[in-house]
Amino acid sequence: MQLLLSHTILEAHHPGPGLYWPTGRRDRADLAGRGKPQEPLPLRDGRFLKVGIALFIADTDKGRRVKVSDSAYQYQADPDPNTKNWIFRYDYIRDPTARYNDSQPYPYPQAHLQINAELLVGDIKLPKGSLDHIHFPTRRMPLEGIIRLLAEEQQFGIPCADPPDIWRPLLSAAEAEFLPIAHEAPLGPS
Amino acid sequence: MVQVNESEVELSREEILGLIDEGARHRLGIRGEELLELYHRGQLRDLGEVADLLVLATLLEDQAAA
Repeated sequence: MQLLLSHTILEAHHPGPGLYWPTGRRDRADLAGRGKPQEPLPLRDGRFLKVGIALFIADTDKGRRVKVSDSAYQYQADPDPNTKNWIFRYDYIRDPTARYNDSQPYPYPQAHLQINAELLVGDIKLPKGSLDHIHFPTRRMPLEGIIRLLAEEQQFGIPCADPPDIWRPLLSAAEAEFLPIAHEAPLGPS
Repeated sequence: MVQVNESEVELSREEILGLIDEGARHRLGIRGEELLELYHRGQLRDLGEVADLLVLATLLEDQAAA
């Protein structure tokens, strides 16, 4: 992951994400910020990417594998982990019933996108005023997908560390490994 | 925090709860324990605002909960 980030959007010389273990255990870990888990990673456009990926070891019919139980990615304008100045975020939860003990089903798509933006269409008013309260369902978005979005989308204008012919094949290879085995959640409550 | 190597760190249960508490107080004005209770009861709205804290909270779970 560090390789993909350092070839693309990560600020020069930044060491990349950190891996956090619970004391004395190696059955789960979080891939997150450096120094502290909530610390956003600095990007080459002066903005920041907050990353949190919960990993766990699972016994599968193909042996032990590392899987993702939850992930959260937030592109934001400043380095504050508690900022209101976020631009978009992708969240994913594999199994909300594992922790969400309400009689009602989990109210959001298990993989979704939020955008911190105003709706600029005529006089349409959303009940809560802006688009950031809408959870747009998505497919699983791995960190490779976030890197690709930020690196490829010209509107963000992030000057990547290396030319695309260096990092596109790396991203494609990583995606090719991820997509066939990715858990895809339902698009809404069932 | 115990630095395992250059990029890996071990966090105690108290340290994990402390980090969650810090974020919950800043963002929602509630304690970390309250945040987790609300979440587990299905009463927490706008999970995205604290999604990274909920990811961190997975480190508190035992393996069987996966």
